[in-house]
Amino acid sequence: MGKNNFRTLIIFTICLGVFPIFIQSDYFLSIMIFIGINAIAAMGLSLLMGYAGQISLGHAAFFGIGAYCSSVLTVKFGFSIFAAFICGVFLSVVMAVAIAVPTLKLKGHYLAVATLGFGEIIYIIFNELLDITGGPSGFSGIPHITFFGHAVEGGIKYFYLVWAIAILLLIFSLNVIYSRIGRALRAVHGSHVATEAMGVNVSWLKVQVFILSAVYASIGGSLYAHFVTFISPPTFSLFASILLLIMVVIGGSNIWGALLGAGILTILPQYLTAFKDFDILVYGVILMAILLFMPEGLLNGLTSLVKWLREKR
Amino acid sequence: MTLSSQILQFFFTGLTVGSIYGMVGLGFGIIYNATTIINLAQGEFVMLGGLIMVFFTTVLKFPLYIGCPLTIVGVTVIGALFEFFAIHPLRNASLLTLVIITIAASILFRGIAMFIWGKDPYALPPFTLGGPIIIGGAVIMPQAFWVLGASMIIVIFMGLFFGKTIIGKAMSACSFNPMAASLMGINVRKMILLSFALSAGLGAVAGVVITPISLMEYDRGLMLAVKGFCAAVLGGLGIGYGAVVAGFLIGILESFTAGLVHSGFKDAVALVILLFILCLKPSGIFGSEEVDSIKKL
Amino acid sequence: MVEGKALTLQPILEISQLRKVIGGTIVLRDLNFSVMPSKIKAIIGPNGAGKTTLFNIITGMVRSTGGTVLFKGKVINGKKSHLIAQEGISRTFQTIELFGNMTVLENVMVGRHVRTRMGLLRSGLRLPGVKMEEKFILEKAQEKLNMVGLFHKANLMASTLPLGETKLLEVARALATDPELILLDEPAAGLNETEILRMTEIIGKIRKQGMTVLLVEHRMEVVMGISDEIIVLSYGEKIAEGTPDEIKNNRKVIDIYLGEEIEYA
Repeated sequence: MGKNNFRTLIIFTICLGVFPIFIQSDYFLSIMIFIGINAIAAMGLSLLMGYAGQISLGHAAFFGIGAYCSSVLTVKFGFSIFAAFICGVFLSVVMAVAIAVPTLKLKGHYLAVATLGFGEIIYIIFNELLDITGGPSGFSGIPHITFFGHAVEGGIKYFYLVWAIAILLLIFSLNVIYSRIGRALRAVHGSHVATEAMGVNVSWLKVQVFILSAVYASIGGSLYAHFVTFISPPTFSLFASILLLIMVVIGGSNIWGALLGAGILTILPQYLTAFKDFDILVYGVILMAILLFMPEGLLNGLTSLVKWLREKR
Repeated sequence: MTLSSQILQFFFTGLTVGSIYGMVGLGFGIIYNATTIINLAQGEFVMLGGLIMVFFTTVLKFPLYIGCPLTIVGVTVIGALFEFFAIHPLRNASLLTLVIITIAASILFRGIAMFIWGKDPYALPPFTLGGPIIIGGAVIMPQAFWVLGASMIIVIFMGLFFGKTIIGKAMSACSFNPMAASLMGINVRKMILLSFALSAGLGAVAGVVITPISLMEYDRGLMLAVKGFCAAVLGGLGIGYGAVVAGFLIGILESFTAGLVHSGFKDAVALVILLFILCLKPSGIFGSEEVDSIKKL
Repeated sequence: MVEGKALTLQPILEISQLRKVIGGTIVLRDLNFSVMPSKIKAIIGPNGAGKTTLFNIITGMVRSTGGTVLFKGKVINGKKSHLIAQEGISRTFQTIELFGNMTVLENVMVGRHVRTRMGLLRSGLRLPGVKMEEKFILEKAQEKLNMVGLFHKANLMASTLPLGETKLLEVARALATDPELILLDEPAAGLNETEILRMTEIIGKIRKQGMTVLLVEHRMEVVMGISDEIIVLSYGEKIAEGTPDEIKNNRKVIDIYLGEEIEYA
């Protein structure tokens, strides 16, 4: 995965590992847990956007599928936590294939709106299937995760669980990026025509990345459900999908950027409570500003800025 | 109400709502024809049209025939400014980035609208006075005729504009081959600006005529944009009359679903139709795949 | 002199009655020809003769309106580009289609994609086979770079290469797919004398390694110097086919294309 990435990964893991030793407050721990959960979903989306070059405006739907499967199947149908989680992933894969296969051969904006439509349909389903999902009033009583009889309760344990999974997924992502698959994806950005001529099945590759990103979101959703133990449809609305999109764009559509974006957009709402409903205005301004002035995202923008400052001296 | 008059009712409601979707779809088509961009902020122009008209008539107490053109001009200017500040600087960026910026713009417009007008829905008085008209047991508001009339006039106008005038044909030429277009002396830059201005104005008209019937609030734009896009794709992206016909179809299907099946699923109708069409015939009812593949931008 | 086996040499590529109509124009008109294995066949003709369209049809980028393309006896027209590449055909492009956002070495490594198998899941999990395959890809790519003489520029961005070297890089990349048939679309265009010599040498090496070459070219020094056979196209029709000597002296060809003033080696 490259020396730089490996080093950063090690440092990052160590920092995360010691974090709960220094910061024990439940508040900060849960913020970090939410960042981790969002980061998982954002990483998947950044693989789709940054490397496969596709947009999804409905990714919160996959997040929701993971969340609702983990909730409903355990509470109402007695599934084990792991089985319910797998079902969430499986269902997300099926849905992802259903959308991606027909649309990925079309131009980019068709997929964008197809995902928008898909996200909305799923949101409506969450709201309308009252008997199963509890509808707008939400679904509660979601059990905590148990590992061999021990409940993973409390901030610190869940922190480690979420971030262990996040780091594993990060490693997976980096492995993919630095493999022949990642190379093929980058080649498409260079020349779509030549990539096909070199024997790469570009459409299938894009479908695979779409499916992968859906799986990441589903995993995030399941982790979310077991943490908050109560879920309701608004968390999985179009707005949530757009927030996820902003996380990726802020970061610059690369994998580390997704982590940064998740961090910023999880912490930001805490400060925006003063603005109450105007948070959407702030998000709109942020997104526009990034696109117009720092289109490669904050991470690259900041590194360029640092380089530029160094040269000035 | 007898079943047949209920059905007639759904039909008329659907037709009315469908005209709006058609007009939004038309707006999508205009920008797509000139630039191959999908402007997801299209619905916000409708919202702004309605709310700004409310401002002129309710706050400034202007009469309709002054408020209306002022609103349309106002939103047209907003559309042009949007192109100037947000689209033009990114003209060399990827399609992905451009779609995202239209999303950002739609969020921004929504946020500003909420800031100015708050979250409550606003009403406009109907253009003509008079009670509901009863046809075959179904109830129709007179405003509905204004809506249908407006959409018909717009369709005719667009047809003439794009089919007969030089400017209109020039706009279509731009997305087929911008290089050739500019070699022919067409100012591609101006055409793109014009396309945004035009579709903004179009959206404003839709907003102005529909608000007396269904009120207008700050966040109506997105759903309208999605459904308008469905109409545009269903009819054939870029094909004016296609979007309008498709808009009627969607509106009617939606109305029947809400009435006969379950109102909660009404919003899903347009989306399910969209997904179907994308799978079966992405070029839409009236579109052709060959033409689609030639578009270069 | 009696061979142990009867040598029934089949053409590696057979074009029959190939037709392509775009709009109202007949770009390719009932084209017929075949290419024997390990030979270099050149296609020449004035601009607009349909040469690049022919390449695009063979590699699956464009659909033919009629006729068939047989590769090793199998019908390939109508198949998708990546499948045709898997069959063993690869190409370079007239307008450079490099992966400018990647290094020279990575460009060639992408060429290796079609002969390798590690998919998304296995790559992500970094299963043992992946590392070995990567090493193999790297070696093969370096070998091809060496063959075209670009090894010293392996880690530079492809976008920084001068024109002559971009052409060589495209060849290296096409070779990395281990093709049986390689289509070279004007490899010598825009090159200077030294570069042309280098390119000609490389094309010769390709044939020596057993691959078949189908070459579209305008520079007569290259065509006459290295081809085994030449086809002359004009307005989508084949007007002559034969050895370089035969073509040089073909009246029709001279009138339409070569002109009597042109000197060639």
